[in-house]
Amino acid sequence: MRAALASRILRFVDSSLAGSPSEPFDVLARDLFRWQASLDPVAASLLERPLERWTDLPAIPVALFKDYPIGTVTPGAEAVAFRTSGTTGTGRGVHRLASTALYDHGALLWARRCVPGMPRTIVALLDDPQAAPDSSLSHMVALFGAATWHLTEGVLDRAGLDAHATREPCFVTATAFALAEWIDGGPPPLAADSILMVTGGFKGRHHRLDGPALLAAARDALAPARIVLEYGMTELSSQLWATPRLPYAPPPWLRAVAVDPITGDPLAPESRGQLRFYDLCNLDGAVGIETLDEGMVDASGAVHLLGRLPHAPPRGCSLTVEEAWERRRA
Amino acid sequence: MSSKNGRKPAGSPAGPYGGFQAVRRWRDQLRESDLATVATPLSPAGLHLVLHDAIEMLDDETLDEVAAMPGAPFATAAMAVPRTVPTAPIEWCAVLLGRGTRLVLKPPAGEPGLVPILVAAAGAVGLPLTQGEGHGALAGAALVVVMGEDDTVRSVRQHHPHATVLGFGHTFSVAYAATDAAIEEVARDAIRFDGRGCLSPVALLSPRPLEEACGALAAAMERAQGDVPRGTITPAEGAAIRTRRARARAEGVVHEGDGWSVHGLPPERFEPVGLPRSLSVHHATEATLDRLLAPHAGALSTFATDGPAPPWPHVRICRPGEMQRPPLIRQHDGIDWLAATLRGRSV
Repeated sequence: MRAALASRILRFVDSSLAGSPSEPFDVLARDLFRWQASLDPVAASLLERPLERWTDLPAIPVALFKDYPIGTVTPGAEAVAFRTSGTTGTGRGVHRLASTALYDHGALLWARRCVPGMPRTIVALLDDPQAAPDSSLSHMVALFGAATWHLTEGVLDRAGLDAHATREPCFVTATAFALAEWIDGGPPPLAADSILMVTGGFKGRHHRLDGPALLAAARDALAPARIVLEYGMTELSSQLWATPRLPYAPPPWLRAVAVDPITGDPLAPESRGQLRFYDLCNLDGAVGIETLDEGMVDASGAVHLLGRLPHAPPRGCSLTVEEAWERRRA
Repeated sequence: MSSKNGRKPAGSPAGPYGGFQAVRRWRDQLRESDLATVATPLSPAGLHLVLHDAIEMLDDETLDEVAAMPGAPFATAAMAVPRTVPTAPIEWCAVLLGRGTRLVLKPPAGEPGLVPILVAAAGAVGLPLTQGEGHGALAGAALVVVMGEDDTVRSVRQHHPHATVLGFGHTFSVAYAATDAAIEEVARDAIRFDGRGCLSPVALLSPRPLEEACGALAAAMERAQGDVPRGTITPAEGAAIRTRRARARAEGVVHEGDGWSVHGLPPERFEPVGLPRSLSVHHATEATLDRLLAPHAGALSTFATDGPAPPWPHVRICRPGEMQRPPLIRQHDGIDWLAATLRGRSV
């Protein structure tokens, strides 16, 4: 059954990107959930209404990934386990995959579509995936080309960064917090035609540079040819991409819905709400994920990310750096 | 007036600014307050209930006892009012103002809550209570009182190194109950402040079978909601309630109604997190309580029980129904706050 679904999803990814989906998203999403629910009692327990369309699919709150082995892969039988960065004193959510083939295929295709001209030389303000095999972000970035890694246990390798980022056109990938740290140290401008990718906000924590101020400082200090923004989550297999001041574009195999955070009911397009994602590439995890992020989904399906739900606990990839930074300050 | 040990009492019925006599008049004014224009997350009935509780705690006899306590008051004090418990300043106002301390209340940004009413009533009886805004409101005070998240308390300590800072960070409370009558009282505790605040029960622990305990609490929560409807909740609170509901659907029991919910979960899912009108229920016995609460013991504020009182130091023990109505003269999260609000007193 897994192989048949994987094959259908792969066809959907390729065909939808070409503009002619091999089958309706709705049908594939419901079939995927039914299979997941047959193997995952948590997913099955959250089904509360007849599955008439994809918006009826339960979305598993991300916090449950810390409590239960969500998905179809038995713990210990996974090929790869991605883990959330977690916050101090709490557990880490786990996304187990029997194979990363779908993840890799979708992530690479959509990144290339959203970032045309992406240099194949990667300079990453991230942990080396060899050292951090549970980082989905490092895993994704490694797909993009030949990478050098410049973060170790939350500490930036500034000398290596400055050298590699100025040598040839490169794709610089950074969490917001790592980027802010780098800029604070006065980095040189990037090599001409380089592109800067920023992912993850500060998730409720604070740095001198934040949001638009960080991007402005990055433009001033690094002079990239372009800045692109990436939104992904450990619990998802697909990513959304944006350019600053524009909404995030999901791939055709991922749909976003804003729901009323109190009732869980889907809201009309353009309404501010709690974000849920339905990701067909989440074959081994959960097709529906409920985040603690706030945003608006427009009529085209693009996502205007507004940040965390007010007073929601912090989380995200930037935390790895933030926590190390706070430990050093202490 | 002098105290039993001959030292000068900290306050007197007719001390500076009218002392505790003025506090009694302030209290009586508050009883007559028009709450129609007060905006808090609580429903009007919920606000009336907790304001009534807070005012009735200030009975004449208790105020006389406080007035007779020996010690020198601080000249000035400031208090950061917590968002979750709008009546929290009332007892602090009574004690500090009665002793002659000039006091500034800093409400949460954009949420004045009851503060304007407290200040207006104080002005009418000549008590030196004012409202301040922003971080500057706490500046210059000899005594600073702050309740809130641990980060907030830490930040206030850093920014006011020369003040005596009484900081109360994150704590939580739980109830242990077996009988229907006691569980009914737990629901009454949970409606006060809609279950927010450190004295609210975050969970019911019960030796009864989980389904049975959840059913009894659900019936009580429904009745309580009928008497005192829940107010508004934030998006993050709504999301957190639905997350816990998902856990309970996966491995427990869900009861819910309009404005309340009860989630039965295994003991290992216990979390010291208060959610508005939403209680988790866990099976526990007197023999397993220690183990269940041990990871969070340092943050346990109040434990309500209809059984024998456990020998836990620094934890307030009370009966169900009394969690949110502590007496004025007590320890506050293990601190003798009535002594700590006097200069040079050890706490």
